[in-house]
Amino acid sequence: MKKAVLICTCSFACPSMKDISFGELTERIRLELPQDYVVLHPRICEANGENLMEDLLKPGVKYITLACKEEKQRKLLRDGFQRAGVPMDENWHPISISFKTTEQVLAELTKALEEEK
Amino acid sequence: MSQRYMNIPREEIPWYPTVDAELCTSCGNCLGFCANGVFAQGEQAVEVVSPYNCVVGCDACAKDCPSGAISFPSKEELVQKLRELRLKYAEKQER
Repeated sequence: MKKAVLICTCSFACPSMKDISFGELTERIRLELPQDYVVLHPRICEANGENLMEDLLKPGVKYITLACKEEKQRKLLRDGFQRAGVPMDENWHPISISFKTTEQVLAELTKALEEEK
Repeated sequence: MSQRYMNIPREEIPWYPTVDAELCTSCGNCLGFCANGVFAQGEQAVEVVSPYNCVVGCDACAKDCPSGAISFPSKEELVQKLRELRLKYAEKQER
Protein backbone atom coordinates (compact mmCIF):
# COMPACT_ATOMS: atom_id res chain seq x y z
CA MET A 1 0.00 0.00 0.00
CA LYS A 2 1.28 3.48 -0.85
CA LYS A 3 1.82 5.91 2.00
CA ALA A 4 0.91 9.57 1.80
CA VAL A 5 1.48 12.18 4.47
CA LEU A 6 -1.09 14.97 4.68
CA ILE A 7 -0.11 17.83 6.94
CA CYS A 8 -2.72 20.28 8.19
CA THR A 9 -1.02 23.43 9.45
CA CYS A 10 -4.16 24.92 11.01
CA SER A 11 -3.49 28.19 9.14
CA PHE A 12 0.04 28.30 10.62
CA ALA A 13 -1.72 30.06 13.49
CA CYS A 14 -2.64 27.47 16.08
CA PRO A 15 -0.94 28.19 19.41
CA SER A 16 -0.72 24.45 20.02
CA MET A 17 1.57 24.14 16.96
CA LYS A 18 3.87 27.06 17.69
CA ASP A 19 6.92 24.83 18.23
CA ILE A 20 6.71 23.22 14.80
CA SER A 21 8.64 24.56 11.81
CA PHE A 22 6.34 23.45 9.02
CA GLY A 23 8.90 24.27 6.36
CA GLU A 24 11.56 22.08 7.95
CA LEU A 25 9.05 19.38 8.82
CA THR A 26 7.73 19.08 5.26
CA GLU A 27 11.15 19.05 3.66
CA ARG A 28 12.59 16.51 6.09
CA ILE A 29 9.62 14.20 5.58
CA ARG A 30 10.14 14.49 1.82
CA LEU A 31 13.89 13.88 1.99
CA GLU A 32 14.33 11.52 4.91
CA LEU A 33 11.24 9.39 5.45
CA PRO A 34 9.90 6.45 3.44
CA GLN A 35 6.66 7.82 1.98
CA ASP A 36 5.26 8.20 -1.52
CA TYR A 37 4.35 11.87 -1.24
CA VAL A 38 3.71 14.63 1.25
CA VAL A 39 1.09 17.38 1.03
CA LEU A 40 0.88 20.53 3.12
CA HIS A 41 -2.47 22.29 3.42
CA PRO A 42 -3.49 25.21 5.64
CA ARG A 43 -6.75 23.65 6.75
CA ILE A 44 -7.74 20.22 5.52
CA CYS A 45 -10.93 20.21 7.61
CA GLU A 46 -12.56 23.13 5.80
CA ALA A 47 -14.26 23.24 2.40
CA ASN A 48 -11.05 23.92 0.48
CA GLY A 49 -9.34 20.96 2.15
CA GLU A 50 -12.33 18.73 1.56
CA ASN A 51 -12.15 19.64 -2.13
CA LEU A 52 -8.52 18.55 -2.10
CA MET A 53 -9.43 15.29 -0.38
CA GLU A 54 -12.20 14.58 -2.85
CA ASP A 55 -9.76 14.95 -5.76
CA LEU A 56 -6.77 13.31 -4.10
CA LEU A 57 -7.89 10.43 -1.93
CA LYS A 58 -8.27 6.97 -3.41
CA PRO A 59 -8.27 3.37 -2.22
CA GLY A 60 -4.91 1.63 -1.96
CA VAL A 61 -3.20 4.51 -0.19
CA LYS A 62 -2.68 4.89 3.56
CA TYR A 63 -3.14 8.53 4.47
CA ILE A 64 -1.17 9.54 7.53
CA THR A 65 -2.56 12.86 8.69
CA LEU A 66 -0.58 15.22 10.87
CA ALA A 67 -3.08 17.59 12.44
CA CYS A 68 -4.94 18.30 15.68
CA LYS A 69 -5.93 15.73 18.30
CA GLU A 70 -6.81 12.33 16.82
CA GLU A 71 -10.40 12.31 18.08
CA LYS A 72 -10.88 15.80 16.70
CA GLN A 73 -9.43 14.77 13.35
CA ARG A 74 -11.90 11.89 13.19
CA LYS A 75 -14.78 14.36 13.36
CA LEU A 76 -13.23 17.01 11.13
CA LEU A 77 -11.87 14.82 8.35
CA ARG A 78 -14.80 12.38 8.16
CA ASP A 79 -16.66 14.36 5.51
CA GLY A 80 -13.59 14.63 3.30
CA PHE A 81 -13.01 10.88 3.34
CA GLN A 82 -16.70 10.31 2.72
CA ARG A 83 -16.72 12.67 -0.26
CA ALA A 84 -13.70 10.83 -1.67
CA GLY A 85 -15.42 7.47 -1.15
CA VAL A 86 -12.47 6.17 0.84
CA PRO A 87 -13.11 4.28 4.11
CA MET A 88 -11.35 5.93 7.02
CA ASP A 89 -10.89 2.71 8.95
CA GLU A 90 -8.74 1.12 6.24
CA ASN A 91 -6.95 4.10 4.79
CA TRP A 92 -6.31 6.51 7.62
CA HIS A 93 -3.68 6.83 10.33
CA PRO A 94 -3.97 10.04 12.38
CA ILE A 95 -1.14 11.60 14.34
CA SER A 96 -1.70 14.54 16.65
CA ILE A 97 0.88 17.30 16.34
CA SER A 98 -0.65 19.50 19.03
CA PHE A 99 1.90 20.69 21.59
CA LYS A 100 4.78 18.92 19.85
CA THR A 101 8.07 20.06 18.37
CA THR A 102 9.32 19.38 14.84
CA GLU A 103 11.60 16.62 16.15
CA GLN A 104 8.80 14.99 18.15
CA VAL A 105 6.52 14.97 15.12
CA LEU A 106 9.24 13.45 12.95
CA ALA A 107 9.86 10.73 15.54
CA GLU A 108 6.17 9.84 15.73
CA LEU A 109 5.76 9.84 11.99
CA THR A 110 8.84 7.63 11.56
CA LYS A 111 7.28 5.13 13.95
CA ALA A 112 3.93 5.27 12.15
CA LEU A 113 5.54 4.70 8.76
CA GLU A 114 7.36 1.66 10.15
CA GLU A 115 4.08 0.30 11.54
CA GLU A 116 2.43 0.71 8.16
CA LYS A 117 5.05 -1.39 6.32
CA MET B 1 0.16 35.09 24.74
CA SER B 2 1.42 37.53 22.12
CA GLN B 3 0.95 36.27 18.59
CA ARG B 4 0.81 37.68 15.10
CA TYR B 5 -1.22 36.52 12.13
CA MET B 6 -0.11 37.76 8.70
CA ASN B 7 2.09 40.19 10.64
CA ILE B 8 -1.01 41.61 12.37
CA PRO B 9 -1.14 41.51 16.18
CA ARG B 10 -3.64 38.79 17.04
CA GLU B 11 -5.44 41.04 19.50
CA GLU B 12 -6.52 43.33 16.65
CA ILE B 13 -8.34 40.57 14.80
CA PRO B 14 -11.91 40.18 16.09
CA TRP B 15 -12.15 36.46 15.48
CA TYR B 16 -13.23 34.34 18.42
CA PRO B 17 -16.33 32.42 19.47
CA THR B 18 -19.36 33.75 21.28
CA VAL B 19 -21.31 31.41 23.51
CA ASP B 20 -25.07 31.85 23.82
CA ALA B 21 -25.58 31.12 27.51
CA GLU B 22 -29.24 30.28 26.95
CA LEU B 23 -28.43 27.58 24.44
CA CYS B 24 -25.33 26.23 26.20
CA THR B 25 -25.99 23.03 28.15
CA SER B 26 -22.50 22.97 29.75
CA CYS B 27 -21.88 19.60 28.14
CA GLY B 28 -18.17 20.43 27.98
CA ASN B 29 -17.76 19.29 24.38
CA CYS B 30 -16.01 22.51 23.37
CA LEU B 31 -13.65 22.33 26.34
CA GLY B 32 -12.32 19.03 25.07
CA PHE B 33 -12.46 20.06 21.43
CA CYS B 34 -10.39 23.24 21.63
CA ALA B 35 -6.72 22.56 22.33
CA ASN B 36 -5.92 26.17 23.08
CA GLY B 37 -7.89 26.90 26.23
CA VAL B 38 -10.27 29.37 24.61
CA PHE B 39 -13.16 28.10 26.74
CA ALA B 40 -13.69 27.48 30.44
CA GLN B 41 -16.68 26.28 32.36
CA GLY B 42 -18.50 29.21 33.97
CA GLU B 43 -21.20 29.14 36.63
CA GLN B 44 -24.14 29.06 34.23
CA ALA B 45 -22.56 28.18 30.91
CA VAL B 46 -19.26 27.79 29.13
CA GLU B 47 -17.39 31.08 28.81
CA VAL B 48 -14.80 32.38 26.37
CA VAL B 49 -11.79 33.13 28.57
CA SER B 50 -8.87 33.36 26.11
CA PRO B 51 -10.40 34.71 22.90
CA TYR B 52 -7.10 35.49 21.21
CA ASN B 53 -5.90 31.92 21.57
CA CYS B 54 -8.57 31.09 18.99
CA VAL B 55 -7.07 30.20 15.60
CA VAL B 56 -8.03 32.89 13.09
CA GLY B 57 -10.63 31.52 10.70
CA CYS B 58 -11.26 28.33 12.66
CA ASP B 59 -14.87 27.69 13.63
CA ALA B 60 -14.68 23.94 14.07
CA CYS B 61 -15.90 24.09 17.68
CA ALA B 62 -19.15 25.66 16.48
CA LYS B 63 -19.69 22.78 14.08
CA ASP B 64 -19.06 20.36 16.93
CA CYS B 65 -21.34 22.06 19.49
CA PRO B 66 -24.40 19.82 19.89
CA SER B 67 -26.69 22.64 21.01
CA GLY B 68 -25.64 25.27 18.48
CA ALA B 69 -24.58 27.66 21.24
CA ILE B 70 -21.29 28.74 19.64
CA SER B 71 -21.14 31.33 16.88
CA PHE B 72 -18.47 33.29 15.00
CA PRO B 73 -18.35 36.37 12.79
CA SER B 74 -18.85 35.57 9.12
CA LYS B 75 -15.85 34.63 6.99
CA GLU B 76 -16.66 37.61 4.72
CA GLU B 77 -16.33 39.98 7.68
CA LEU B 78 -13.04 38.35 8.59
CA VAL B 79 -11.63 38.67 5.09
CA GLN B 80 -12.62 42.35 4.93
CA LYS B 81 -11.09 43.07 8.34
CA LEU B 82 -7.86 41.29 7.42
CA ARG B 83 -7.62 43.37 4.23
CA GLU B 84 -7.89 46.56 6.29
CA LEU B 85 -5.37 45.40 8.87
CA ARG B 86 -2.86 44.21 6.28
CA LEU B 87 -2.97 47.66 4.68
CA LYS B 88 -2.55 49.32 8.06
CA TYR B 89 0.51 47.24 8.93
CA ALA B 90 1.99 47.48 5.43
CA GLU B 91 1.81 51.28 5.75
CA LYS B 92 3.47 51.12 9.16
CA GLN B 93 6.34 49.06 7.74
CA GLU B 94 6.88 51.56 4.90
CA ARG B 95 7.34 54.43 7.35
